[in-house]
Amino acid sequence: MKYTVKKIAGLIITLLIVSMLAFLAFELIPGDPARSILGTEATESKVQALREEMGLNRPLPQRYGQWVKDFVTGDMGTSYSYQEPVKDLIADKLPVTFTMTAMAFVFILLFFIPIGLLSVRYENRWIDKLFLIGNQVTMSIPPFFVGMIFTVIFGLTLRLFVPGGYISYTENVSGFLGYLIFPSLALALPKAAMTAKMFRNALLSEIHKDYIRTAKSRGNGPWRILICHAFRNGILPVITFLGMAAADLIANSIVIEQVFGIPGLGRTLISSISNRDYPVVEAVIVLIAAVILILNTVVDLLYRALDKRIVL
Amino acid sequence: MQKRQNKLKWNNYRIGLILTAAMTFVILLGIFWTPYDPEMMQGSLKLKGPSLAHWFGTDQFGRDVLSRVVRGAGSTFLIGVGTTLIGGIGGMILGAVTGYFGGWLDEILMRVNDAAAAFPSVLLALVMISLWGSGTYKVMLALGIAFIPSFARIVRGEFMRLRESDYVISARLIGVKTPRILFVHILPNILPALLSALAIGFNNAVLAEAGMSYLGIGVQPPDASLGRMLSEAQTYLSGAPWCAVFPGVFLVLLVLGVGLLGEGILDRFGGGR
Repeated sequence: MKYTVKKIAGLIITLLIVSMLAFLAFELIPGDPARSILGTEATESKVQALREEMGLNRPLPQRYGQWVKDFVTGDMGTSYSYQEPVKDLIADKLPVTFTMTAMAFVFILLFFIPIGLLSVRYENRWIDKLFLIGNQVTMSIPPFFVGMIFTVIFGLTLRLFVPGGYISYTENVSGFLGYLIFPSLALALPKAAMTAKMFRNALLSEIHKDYIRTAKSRGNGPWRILICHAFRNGILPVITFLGMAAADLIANSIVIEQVFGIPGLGRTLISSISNRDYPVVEAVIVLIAAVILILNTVVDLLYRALDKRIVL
Repeated sequence: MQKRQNKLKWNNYRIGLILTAAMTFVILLGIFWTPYDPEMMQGSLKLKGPSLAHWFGTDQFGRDVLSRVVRGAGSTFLIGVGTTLIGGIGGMILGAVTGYFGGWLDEILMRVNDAAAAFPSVLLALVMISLWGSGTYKVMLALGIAFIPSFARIVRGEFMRLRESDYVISARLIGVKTPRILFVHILPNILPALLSALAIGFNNAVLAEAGMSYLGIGVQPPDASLGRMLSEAQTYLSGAPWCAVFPGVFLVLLVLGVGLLGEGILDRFGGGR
């Protein structure tokens, strides 16, 4: 309990530091937000009036406080290029990116557990060696190149999906999920290979310990030993890694969205970076940071719950 | 036993070393000589498949893909090395000082560091790129700074592990100056861990650069990079897949080689770890 409180307090402090850094970074950009909105044609008095209205003339700490308050209540400012609230711009993009990342995460789980178990069960046999080489090569391929390979093989040759034929979830949910299969698979594969490799090594270091020998001498079969005895301890280091992998999935989804023409958060972020639409960039970055930091805390708490040996 | 030692073992270290050396050689050669001028456009040779004259085919402007891959890999390699140097040196100093001395400075720096390290470095670099614009050197600097936290974390852990070891205590007792203890006594002992971390960093930098250039916010034309080539090739995927396949495979081989080398160094020289 004490640990949970400590972790959550740490999370809040870190979130404050991140938000402060983000706020300062976008505060230091040369240029006047009021002028960016009104354009270069506007008169000086108009710009001054808008500055006053936006609260840009107030001291920095006060503006930061206001910004945090607005952000938490859902007011993320107004986009320069669309003249629309940032909240409205990203509200319908969030589910897209979230679904894709979540699907990719499920794919990672579906891949790494059987591959890891099979590799250790048949250690040094051909199947283990095949996975070893396969994992090493797969984890060296950038996800967006996997996406391009998928586009050629499954999209253009086998015609299993239409490249660029994204279907919105508001139109057809099953079509939406169906279109996301290959993008999320491309997103997942390199990380799944990395996780499988890690899981194999973790299982291998468990399998030579005393308690496994005891289990073996009591007449348990090799599969039973792996799944009922070694799995619990072998999965622990992988859980921490999965937390980081999830963070990387979010980062990589930005590129994957571009490959498959999916209108998610990443595309909004990239076009906003090119257009210097800072309120949108700031909101998306802080949002992603918050999600990742919360995820990390959850992983830490989960790890603690699963491994009773850790006493802090 | 004797026989096993003589047998050439195809371990990670050896394969990684050979692959990395071969790729580095091709890239260095590409700086001085490529089969064709990578920028030379030939209208009559648009999107021609691989042939004897053009091993990797030609792109939409009739430029030789092989020459462009080799030259493009050069920028990618440069960004990888530059990023690793910036992140490595920054992270080493930060990690060494905080890990060796501890105390309140360590407490504050690591709080900030953990927040930054939890964050995918590509995203950190994206923030910096959005603030100061794109281009080869800006990408290098942005990625380099973004990698400092993760390096610092590894180096700090190693310095903390060794700061109370016997030889460091003895050195301190006989009055060896602190910078000398840090960089002459401890540093060589953490070299395997550091080198393998640098290899991972190099790979992350190469992959991040490729991703960013693919998105059009990395290396800017006329500079070629593997990521930019892949981005341009996307349009011609159905008709001219070679424009994408060769830069992609080159990228994978580079990352694979350095990755194996990094792991191999840890296996071979890691010692007590």
